[in-house]
Amino acid sequence: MADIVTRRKSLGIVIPVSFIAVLVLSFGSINPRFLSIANVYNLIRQTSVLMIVAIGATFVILMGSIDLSVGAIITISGIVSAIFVPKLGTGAIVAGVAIGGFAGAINGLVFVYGRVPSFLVTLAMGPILEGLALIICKGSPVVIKDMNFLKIASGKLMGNFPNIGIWAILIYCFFTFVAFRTRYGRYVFTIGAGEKASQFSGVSVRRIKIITFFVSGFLSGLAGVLFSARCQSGTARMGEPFILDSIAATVVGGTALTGGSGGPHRTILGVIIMGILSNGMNLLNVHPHVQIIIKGVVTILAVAATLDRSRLEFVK
Amino acid sequence: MPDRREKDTKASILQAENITKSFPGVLALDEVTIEVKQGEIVGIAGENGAGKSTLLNIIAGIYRPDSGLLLLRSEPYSPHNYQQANKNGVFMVFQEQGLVPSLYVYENLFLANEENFISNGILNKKKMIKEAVDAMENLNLKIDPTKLTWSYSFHERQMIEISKAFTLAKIREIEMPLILLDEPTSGLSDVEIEILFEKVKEYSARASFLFISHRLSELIELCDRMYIFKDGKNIKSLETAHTSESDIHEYMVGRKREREFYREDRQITAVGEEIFRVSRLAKDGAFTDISFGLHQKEIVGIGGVVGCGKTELGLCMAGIEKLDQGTITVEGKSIHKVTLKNMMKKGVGYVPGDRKNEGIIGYLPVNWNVTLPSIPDITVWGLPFLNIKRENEITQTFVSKFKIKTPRITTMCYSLSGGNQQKVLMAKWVAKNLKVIILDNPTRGIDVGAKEEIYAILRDLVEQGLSIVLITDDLLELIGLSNRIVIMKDGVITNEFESPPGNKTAENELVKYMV
Repeated sequence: MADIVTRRKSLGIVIPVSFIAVLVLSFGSINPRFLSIANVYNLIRQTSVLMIVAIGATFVILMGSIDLSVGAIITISGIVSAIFVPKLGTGAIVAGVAIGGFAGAINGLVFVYGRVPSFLVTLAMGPILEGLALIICKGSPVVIKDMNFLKIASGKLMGNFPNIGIWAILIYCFFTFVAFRTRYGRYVFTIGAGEKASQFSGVSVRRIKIITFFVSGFLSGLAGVLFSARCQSGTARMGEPFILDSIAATVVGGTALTGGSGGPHRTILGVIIMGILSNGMNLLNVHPHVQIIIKGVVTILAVAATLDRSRLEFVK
Repeated sequence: MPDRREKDTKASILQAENITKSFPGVLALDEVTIEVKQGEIVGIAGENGAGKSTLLNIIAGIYRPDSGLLLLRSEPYSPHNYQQANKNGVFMVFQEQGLVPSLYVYENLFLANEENFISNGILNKKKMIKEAVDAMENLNLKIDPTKLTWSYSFHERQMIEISKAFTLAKIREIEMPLILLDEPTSGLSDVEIEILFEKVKEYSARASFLFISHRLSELIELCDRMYIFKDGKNIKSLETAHTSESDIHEYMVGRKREREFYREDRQITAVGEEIFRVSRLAKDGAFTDISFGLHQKEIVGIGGVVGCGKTELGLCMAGIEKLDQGTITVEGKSIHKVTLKNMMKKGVGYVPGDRKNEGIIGYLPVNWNVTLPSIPDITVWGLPFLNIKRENEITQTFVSKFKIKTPRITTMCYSLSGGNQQKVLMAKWVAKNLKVIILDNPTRGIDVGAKEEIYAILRDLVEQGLSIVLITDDLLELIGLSNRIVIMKDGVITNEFESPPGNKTAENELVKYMV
């Protein structure tokens, strides 16, 4: 019996890690530029925003729910912070993050008190926020010119290491700690693995659910701010690709969609895989549309491999 | 008793020869050979994991054996799925009930077999209903096939499942179906069990039965013959007429069952002060005017048929469901707001009866399960951080104390046996240092050996100062464990009994107040 337990756990991490190794070796041998330090820094720049969003997505998925509004939250917080830059300078970060947290809290409240499934709440919230964003920016991109603000993403506080990467790593470390070393984190796992039993054990299920959606919104807000700094503008629909990517990275990294297993520490693997795929395919001049197909295929394979079928009575 | 045992039962309905079946890591059946003759009611006894359900599933076509031979009416029989088993007149009454609640009874009876009622592509409902009505009459069942299935009780739906076997057999013109009953009595009150047995005995003139149960008394009462399975092997075949429960117990676990199964010798007669009292508790539609007190080191048992309100009472006392009226007092202080959190804070815990869904979390490791309610209590410097070291210490303590069989404290709970899962569930609450624990059917679905261990644990806990409210459907358990017994019927208390060791009330005395 013990074999089943340990075998499943170690199988879990072997697959993504070996997949990364395969990708690195393949891309590296086809185009040695792939392995250069400059490209590594590129990779970090390209994946940091996703890393931050995906951590939020991980917590939601761990809890057994899903957040489809992350893209729209990135967009609206990117645009709002861009608008506030002239007035607040780097302080515009707060505006973006606040909008994200607020949107997330609304998601959580409607989910918990309105008893609307998270899939539906966040699916609906997406267009609502995108619409608001379009109204706010009047349909055109909001350009950011403040160098100080742009530096939060593109600057280099530590040698040549991109600032945006520092954000990603700090968020990653902090939230991995939260997941495994705090009460809140433990409750996210238990609710995802067994909501009724958690409730019967005295866990404030409703409170934890609302907090988690707030966290996801907050992190998406932060991601939006950093993304707009990186793109030097806030544009409508800029967050769209992150909806699928955040879920894909979470699942490819090893967190099960059914909830209760995995964790943010695994999401970094998923982010790296998705990042390497894009980065490598770019260097090989693979057509962008083909890249999207390949990403979709990888996601399905990852879900199929990690899905705990014993927990799904019926595949709907 | 009618002379059903003397009728012509010589023809063999089912022969299973040297059936072997293994699953990853487990040899479930090891060259098992059994036989069921026409018109017989054959029982299978054995602890959890002994292979009983697996054999039935093989006969019903749900699993395929690794090796061995099945003969049905002396012809080779190897069903590839349940439908094929049906076509051969083999039917199973599933523990989880194979009926769709939102369909009409007659629709359920013929589910997946509608082709018998189609003319020109249209379903002839009148014919279906007529067949169904005839079937119910034939079987002496007062069930209206035109009503919705969920409007019938669990027990009645079970009868509908049994009637399904007969109706489908008739359609296929099979004279004597073989009906497999897998633990049909768990989930039934004692009264409903009596009714079920009556019917099975009545029907044994027209069908053969293979019956699995944990409860040895049931096997003796109902079956003509029985087999005893142990560790995947068929170790004994017995005529039930000359067998006692302790005989069976001895074969099953290898030691004689003693009168002290419930450790009545350890019942504490000198109980302490009153520690828990409920006054005039009421909940609309469930129960009214419930009052009783619990002293320290006492076990008060609450019994009654399924639906009498005792389960809801337990949930309300725990603070999980809302009370409409009444007060609860713990150690003399009345509780303002009866919520789960408050009751836990005041030292009252609840161990639910539905272990799988409400009790432990299968997809989490043992240590996370054991410490879940205690997390707010084991902080690091008062901050909401987890104290992993302390968690593991606590878990290890209980694994030893309760003899929980698990490879590691980080093993996932779903891989533990039912009895060990129940121990984890109990450890969860005992770890919280509570004063009162409300237990709902703590030994449901657990084999004899594990039950004994749990009873010993309960006696240990009480000796150490714990007080217990025991809500249970198991009459013998109720009588054996309790200091005092409260009987409920239709939401009210009908009687209370003192139950001192050595002078315990008889079951039928209690049942009188339950029905």
